[in-house]
Amino acid sequence: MAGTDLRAWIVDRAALLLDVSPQRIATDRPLADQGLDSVSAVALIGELEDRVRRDLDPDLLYDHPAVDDLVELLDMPGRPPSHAKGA
Amino acid sequence: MLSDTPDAVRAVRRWVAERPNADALVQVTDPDEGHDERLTYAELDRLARAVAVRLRRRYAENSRILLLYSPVRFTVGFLGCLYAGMVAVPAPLPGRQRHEQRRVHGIAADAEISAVLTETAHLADIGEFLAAGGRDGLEVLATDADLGVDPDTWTPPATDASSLGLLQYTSGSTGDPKGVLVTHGNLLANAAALRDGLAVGPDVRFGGWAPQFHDMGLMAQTLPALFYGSTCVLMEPTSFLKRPHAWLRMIDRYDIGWSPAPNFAYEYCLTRVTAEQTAGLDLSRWRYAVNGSEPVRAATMRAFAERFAAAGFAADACSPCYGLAEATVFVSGSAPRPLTTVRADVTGLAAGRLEPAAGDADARELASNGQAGTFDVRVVDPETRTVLGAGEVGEIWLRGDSVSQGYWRRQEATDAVFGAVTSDGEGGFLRTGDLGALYDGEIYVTGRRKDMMIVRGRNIYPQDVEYELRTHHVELGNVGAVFTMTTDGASDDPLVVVHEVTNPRDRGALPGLAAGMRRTVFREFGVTPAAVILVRRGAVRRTTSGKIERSATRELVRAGELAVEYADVDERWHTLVPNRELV
Repeated sequence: MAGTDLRAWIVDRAALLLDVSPQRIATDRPLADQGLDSVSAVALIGELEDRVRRDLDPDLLYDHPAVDDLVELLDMPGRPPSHAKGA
Repeated sequence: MLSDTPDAVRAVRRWVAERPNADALVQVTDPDEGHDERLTYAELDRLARAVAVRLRRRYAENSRILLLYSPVRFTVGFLGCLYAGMVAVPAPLPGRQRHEQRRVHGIAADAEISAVLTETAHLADIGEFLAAGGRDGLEVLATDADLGVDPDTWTPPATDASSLGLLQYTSGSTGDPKGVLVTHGNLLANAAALRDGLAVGPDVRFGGWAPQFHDMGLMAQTLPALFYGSTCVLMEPTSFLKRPHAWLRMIDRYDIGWSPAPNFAYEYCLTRVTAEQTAGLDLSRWRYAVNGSEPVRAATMRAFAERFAAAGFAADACSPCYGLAEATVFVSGSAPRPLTTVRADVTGLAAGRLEPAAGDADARELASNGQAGTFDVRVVDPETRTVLGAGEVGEIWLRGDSVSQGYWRRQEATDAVFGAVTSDGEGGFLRTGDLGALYDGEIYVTGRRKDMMIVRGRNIYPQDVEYELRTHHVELGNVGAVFTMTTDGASDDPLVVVHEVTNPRDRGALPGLAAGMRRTVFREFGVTPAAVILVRRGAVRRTTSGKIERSATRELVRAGELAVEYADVDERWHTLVPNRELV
């Protein structure tokens, strides 16, 4: 899965949970600051689990609060080339 | 039957003797896939005896033992405390939020705990947590590890109905935790009240995700199952929040007939469970969809029943219940029947009367919470303590075997709430702090006394104002808080509306929205708000279970700490709502 796909997908899901259009989600800012409450945060983690097929900590957004942080954590193999290390 | 049983230990052990190989607990680790761990009555008993033997090596009877578990793993430690003749102190795992951690430290200090029980997976975290709070001398035992004792050396404790079984810390403020004293007699009386009040048959299996450190999860879910020789099936609350359909799947897969949840959970299923997720679901054996622990919305239950009718959900399974920790947990409910409601006249409610609305008069639909069969119930004027008649709204007072003796080592708080006496001299009542009326002999809850607002002599309930605003203004989010600010000198306390908007960036629309909200409040309730404050989602304070924290939100406004998107403040109240971002 390419990082850009995952990023766009998280943005779409977060926008749905926040009732805003995806363009309004800033991927470098904590989702909590953009209005995501604790229940919606766990709901998002649940959807992410299904998407990436991994068990995730319900508190994941404490340590990885922004969309970009989540993508970096979850999408290691498919990082964009500019971020890739070595070869 | 239970009334002859002297304590909770013997109530459970009756089934250990009669049906040792029946499942007592099913701990569901993956509700989607049906992965679980089962404990029979004999296995649960053996584990509880081991915990009790281990605790008695170092601690005296009646020692308070803090329980910090993942909710589905809680029961072994809890029963171990009772088997040891000690007092269980349930609390949530401290988690990451500072106010949660402060709360658990506050409970540990208030209860003067002797030790902590947990499971191996949390041992290290809890050690760090206790050390950070200066409690590193406390022993922490993982009850899923080998305790190095022989459970067959266990002897029953010298408990009876009056022995303390647990301290239930209600959701009271972090800085002032109050532990409700719950005796073995309270536990048994309340389980009997619940079973008889709702006519729960012997074959009904219990289960759900309501956490065990909460009164509903423990005493309206797990303990009735164990006292009556049934089975309790548990999943983690976070599994429900992640995938609400997993709750419904579990009810079907494990043949659960009784599952309790707050109103918020039924709403959550309505908005988040998809048709695809309910395909093939059979909810026809779910006889008790208990709705409790926060105000019941008739509209929610009706929508839930309609939505899941295709999955076999029976409309008469909607079970609004009333309860509170000070009465163990359960107070009133009814056997399965169609949802019973009253369209109450709004003008009448404001004047303190519950009466059906005529024709097109403004009405608020209230769900009946059924009868409180085993309690003496009075509806009382909270100021004069005069007992009110049928249909009159006042504070609900209760007396009976489920009512606690008070709060742990809090004489002043105990005196304020327990042992209340009516103006005509009847004593021994618990003041619930809830407002309601008896109508057709059934309990209708209209609000919390401390949330109720009196504006220009009218009683106004904040949840009504919030509900009306959302009904009239589609731009608003799901959460708002309405409250009055207390003032010195003014004849009336000003009413303040804080509400989330779904699209705070549409700045040009906010002034018109706020003005429209003022008009709605004026039109529906005859009061002009002193301030309408629009915020983004997440800004209104809520508890982890979703309850709106109006007084906490009020303090944010008072301190000027609320992140405001737009505020429309009456000129004369500008000093009262100090906000740096006022426009």
